Amino acid sequence: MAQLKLSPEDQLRRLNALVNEFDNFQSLPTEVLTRRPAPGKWSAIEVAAHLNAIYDIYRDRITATLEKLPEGEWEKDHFPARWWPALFIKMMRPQGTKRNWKMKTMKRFEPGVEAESAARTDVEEVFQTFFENHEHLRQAILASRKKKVRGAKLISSIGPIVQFYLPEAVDFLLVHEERHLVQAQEVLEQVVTVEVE
Amino acid sequence: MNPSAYQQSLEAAFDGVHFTDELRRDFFSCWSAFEFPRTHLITEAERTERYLYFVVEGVQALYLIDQKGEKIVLGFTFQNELSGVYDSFLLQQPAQFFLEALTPSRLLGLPFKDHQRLFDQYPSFNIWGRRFAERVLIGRTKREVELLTLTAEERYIRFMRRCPPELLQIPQKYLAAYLNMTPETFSRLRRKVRY
Repeated sequence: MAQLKLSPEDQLRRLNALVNEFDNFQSLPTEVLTRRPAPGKWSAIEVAAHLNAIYDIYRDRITATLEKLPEGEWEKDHFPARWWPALFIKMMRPQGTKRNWKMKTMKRFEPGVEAESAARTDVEEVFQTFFENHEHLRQAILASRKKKVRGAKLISSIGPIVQFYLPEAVDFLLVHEERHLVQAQEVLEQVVTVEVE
Repeated sequence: MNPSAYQQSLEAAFDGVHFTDELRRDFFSCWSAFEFPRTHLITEAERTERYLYFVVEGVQALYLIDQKGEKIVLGFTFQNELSGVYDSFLLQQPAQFFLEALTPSRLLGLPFKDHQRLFDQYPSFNIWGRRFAERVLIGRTKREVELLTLTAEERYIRFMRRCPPELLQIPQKYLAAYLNMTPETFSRLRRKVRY
């Protein structure tokens, strides 16, 4: 398996691109953002709310890990992800618009918004939390550029069976979000098509 | 850092502009001063460039991250030059590139709105605009030809002959990436080749 090389600049680029995509979604009408493409499927706003629920797990763990890391130069060029975390990152990563290894979401990571009865204020709250979370993550990536990132590990949302160094955790979060961005784009395409018909 | 303290060098960077007293007052009031430590990301990829910068001090690198996560260095800016991610600035759209301070940098920044207004209000800005665009085009063409036609050793020699001394202070990996060679090749050429 080819080594997975991580860098803070690559992660920042991808994080900023994700934020731009979700920023574009904000201008869509509430009924488009909250419409489910089929019973039991998530609407676009539920996808964003799910990402917020995941970040709730990571926010404090990332802050605590950063505090533990000693000051110093980032790895020489890239941080080589270890094989076990890399396996989870690669499984999560979408292949173009294809999402392999689909799995049922655990109860604690469910969106927590009532999709089809959500008001504009609910939608705005989800987006506000989403952008606050991403600014937190952006600041964490920027801060990690001046840290010795092998100084501490954090427990993943999967549990202690997967423990990440900070760059691995950030990449896992990003590939998870990239995967759900594909899903949100598909959902929006489907619900807008239904509306035109 | 007061922009008018750099009047001579800032006006020289805008060659072709006919500076009257009124224009001078207006022009110098538009600039904001910034100080960035070494390694600071002045502009991040996928964020929009807000300023056209003038470099008072320091060296900056303009680079992108390719699909493999590698840095591709497009160029450097240094003292008395204009800097920034210019295409993102002009389009006011997310940048493809990063602008990073490779040494502690002091910059002056001209916001987009003022940049556009100066063109509208003072016709001689168009002369500078044309000259600046010509210099950028000629520079990019020259670099493209060098990258496509010269060997690594020839690229190294050409670069070292025209390289300003402050560029030799920055990490070699940036110079190697600019010349499209590995840091190991750059280091070997540095030991072996006279220019």
